[in-house]
Amino acid sequence: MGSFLTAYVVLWLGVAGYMVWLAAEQRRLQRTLDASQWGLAESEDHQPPASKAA
Amino acid sequence: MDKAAGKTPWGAVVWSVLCFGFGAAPMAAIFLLAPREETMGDAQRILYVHVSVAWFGLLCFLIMAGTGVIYLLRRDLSWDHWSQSAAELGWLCTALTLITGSLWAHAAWNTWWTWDPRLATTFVLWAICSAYLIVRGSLEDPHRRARLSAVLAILGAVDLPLVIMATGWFRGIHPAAPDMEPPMRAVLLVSIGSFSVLFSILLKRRRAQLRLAAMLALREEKADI
Repeated sequence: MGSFLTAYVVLWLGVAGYMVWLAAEQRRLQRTLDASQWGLAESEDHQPPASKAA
Repeated sequence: MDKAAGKTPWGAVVWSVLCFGFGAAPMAAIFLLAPREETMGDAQRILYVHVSVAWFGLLCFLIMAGTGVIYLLRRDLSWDHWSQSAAELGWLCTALTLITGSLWAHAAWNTWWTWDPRLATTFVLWAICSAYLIVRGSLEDPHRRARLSAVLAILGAVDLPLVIMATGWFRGIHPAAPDMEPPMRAVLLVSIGSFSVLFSILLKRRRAQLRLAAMLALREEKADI
């Protein structure tokens, strides 16, 4: 009974750990994406008129 | 970008429900439907998850080698993303195969580990996968990384037939394909099917992340120029 329960606990710890890591990685990427989009919008808004015309 | 990997909250909800469903289905089948084996008792139930993770681990190595070959032919990094995604999941599945196998061995053979051909070749496969991930982590240039990784994955795939055929080609104590009662066989198939779908969802999601990360890196590079 001990081996059997340990096997299932280890299995789900492994799978759940990987899923949590995936979620954390997704949040990190999303933050980077949001920051880069915000940065792009910022640079477009603050472009001097001359460079916009060019 | 993949919807499940994006902002849409519904994507995350659907993803979570699918993962829960495909994780819970085999557990319900194993605990509620599978009959108790007479000789080994409950320890025999390890087999259902052991075979499921072992099968998907081998499939991941096949994906790594296949996408590696395609990358070398086309030099398209999107194939390398599949390869990395499969390597990470393959590493996890092979590690879980070794651990659950060791727990089963302790119950069946009264030893945690023995250098049986099937066990040894699986350990070599896991070591190759670890080396593959270390090599990937140490290289900056994406194309150089993809090229070296593809070569490693193709060389590592040589071990695959040895793992699969180990019980037939060499003398060992690992069971080949034991005769099972029909309800046990059905539960094993449900477990293999459900875990395959669950891991495929994770594989696809990780691949979408790697694609997004590559896109962000390219955007950053352009901004620097």
